[in-house]
Amino acid sequence: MTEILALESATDVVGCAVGRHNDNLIEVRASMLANSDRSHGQMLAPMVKAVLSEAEMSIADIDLVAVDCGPGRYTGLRVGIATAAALAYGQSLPVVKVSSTELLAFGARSFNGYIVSLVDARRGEVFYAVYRGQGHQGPSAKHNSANHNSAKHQGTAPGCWLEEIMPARVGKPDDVITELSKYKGRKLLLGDSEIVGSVINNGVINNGAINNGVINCGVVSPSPSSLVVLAAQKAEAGQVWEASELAPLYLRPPDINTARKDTIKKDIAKKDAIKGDAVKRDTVR
Amino acid sequence: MSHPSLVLGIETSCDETAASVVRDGTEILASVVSSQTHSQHGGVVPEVASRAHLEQLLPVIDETLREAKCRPQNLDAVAATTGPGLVGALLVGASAGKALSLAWDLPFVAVNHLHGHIYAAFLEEPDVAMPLVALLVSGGHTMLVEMRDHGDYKLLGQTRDDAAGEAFDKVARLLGLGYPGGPEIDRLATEGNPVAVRFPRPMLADGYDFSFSGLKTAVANHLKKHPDTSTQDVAASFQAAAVDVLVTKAVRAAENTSTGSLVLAGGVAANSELRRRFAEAADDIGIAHFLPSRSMCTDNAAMIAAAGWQQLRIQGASPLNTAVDPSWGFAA
Repeated sequence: MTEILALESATDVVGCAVGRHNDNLIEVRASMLANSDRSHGQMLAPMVKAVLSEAEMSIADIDLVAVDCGPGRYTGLRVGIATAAALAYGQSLPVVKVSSTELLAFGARSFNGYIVSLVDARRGEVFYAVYRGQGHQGPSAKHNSANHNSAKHQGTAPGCWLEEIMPARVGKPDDVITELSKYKGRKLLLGDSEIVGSVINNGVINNGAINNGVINCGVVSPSPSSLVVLAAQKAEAGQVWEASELAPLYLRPPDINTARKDTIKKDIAKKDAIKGDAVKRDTVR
Repeated sequence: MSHPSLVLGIETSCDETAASVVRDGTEILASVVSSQTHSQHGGVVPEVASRAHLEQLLPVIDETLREAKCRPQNLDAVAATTGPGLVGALLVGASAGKALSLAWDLPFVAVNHLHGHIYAAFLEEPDVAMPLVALLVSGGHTMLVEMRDHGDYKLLGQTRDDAAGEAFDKVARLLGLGYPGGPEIDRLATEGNPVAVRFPRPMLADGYDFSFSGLKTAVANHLKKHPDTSTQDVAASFQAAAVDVLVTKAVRAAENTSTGSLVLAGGVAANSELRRRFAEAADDIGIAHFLPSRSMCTDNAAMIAAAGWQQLRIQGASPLNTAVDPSWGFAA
């Protein structure tokens, strides 16, 4: 039996869930979710406490910490990963890393065709990745090839696995449409925000991609409950790591607009007005 | 306090990733600082700093606990800086601090970085007499603070434009020196004549507020008119003007309040001319002074643990939903 604590903070949504993996049964025992534009850092730690309390558990009962490593909002990712890594370090627990795009696609894993996950990358760009749903056939041998701990793998994980066709990238909405044209067959587009949904929807319609197998677009957010289930499957397949191995999937080099130490002391209004561009970007992401 | 108290401090407000274990707010068991390099950008890049903090923080905390020979179950609290500073950088340390307090079932203490700088004094000299007046000078801050008791601060004055350290950096750039400019100017000034150029002493006559932007402009104008002035003389003359203002106002504050001691704090407190003049001036008016060691001037987590320990005793723990505050001032 494995008790799992899952942390989600890659997008505008911040959330936490605890679940129990017992034989083939994965039970989400408590979960919390909130839309929060900028307060992930305020909400996540109290959520962990509240979710554990709701499940009538303590942190000492947890066996595994799972966290969404992005791609997504940099500040949110760092809050999630700093929290997950410190919890795991503090309790000497293994961690499971999940990508935001995989987590989005996982919610639609029973779809028979290509699943395109989209996450708002700001600045008019989008993080995107392509998966293939497997119906309910379960994992094929190919997906277990990277498994370092094959002794743990049962090969009979419940539900199903996704095949990763194209790992996450960052690009313009047009790049997504171009990429989409490479895949023949049914496609499902899933995005994390209305912005992505509408941009892609326009792109799809204007570019005629609608005639190219796209059967649906949906606005969904990564869910901490799904994260529990996906993490349970990954852990069973031996894909566990140490806390120190957690790192965000940035997919972009850092913005090197400087903000010298001086800018941080001045009041926010002044910062924004004078030389706060770099600081402001740091604030919003 | 009936039993010794161990606090883990975490500091990530700017470009130093630091952790420390301090006993009873005064005895450093371990203090680890991992400094980032931003010199190629001429200043701290927020996104680069935030990424580096996340990479460095766990290894730094781990090394700190090993060095302190401290097990988590021996700790009594976790304190982390929650402002002022770069928001993305602060969030890394604050999130990790909150999570460790959850993992180890310990109180979390959200510490003001500026309070930390003053507590650097108590780490090295636990008997600093209060009330005290602190001159806090760094790349981001220039403040005169009256501290009447633990947790009881009054901001007397601060800079209206550039911080003192910022003025050093900007003048260093005018002189074609590297970043950070403070140590370079300090070194060159020892070879120059401090009265070669008479730079202005802004706002010297009135109050406790500072202004360094005009001084920087005066240096720029002088270099335009007299490009052949020796770099050493400009550095020495600029430094003399800046130190004059800082020391004069600190002395004024000490004389006008019932202060028991004068404390120097912050990164610019490492400047040798400021240290010399500050000590001299305090002696002249017969007030005890404290100069932190150079490693305690710059950002570190021991000062955060020390401030956190006092704060825990006076105010108790901070809630887990405490927000980081990039522009947190001195007052609570």
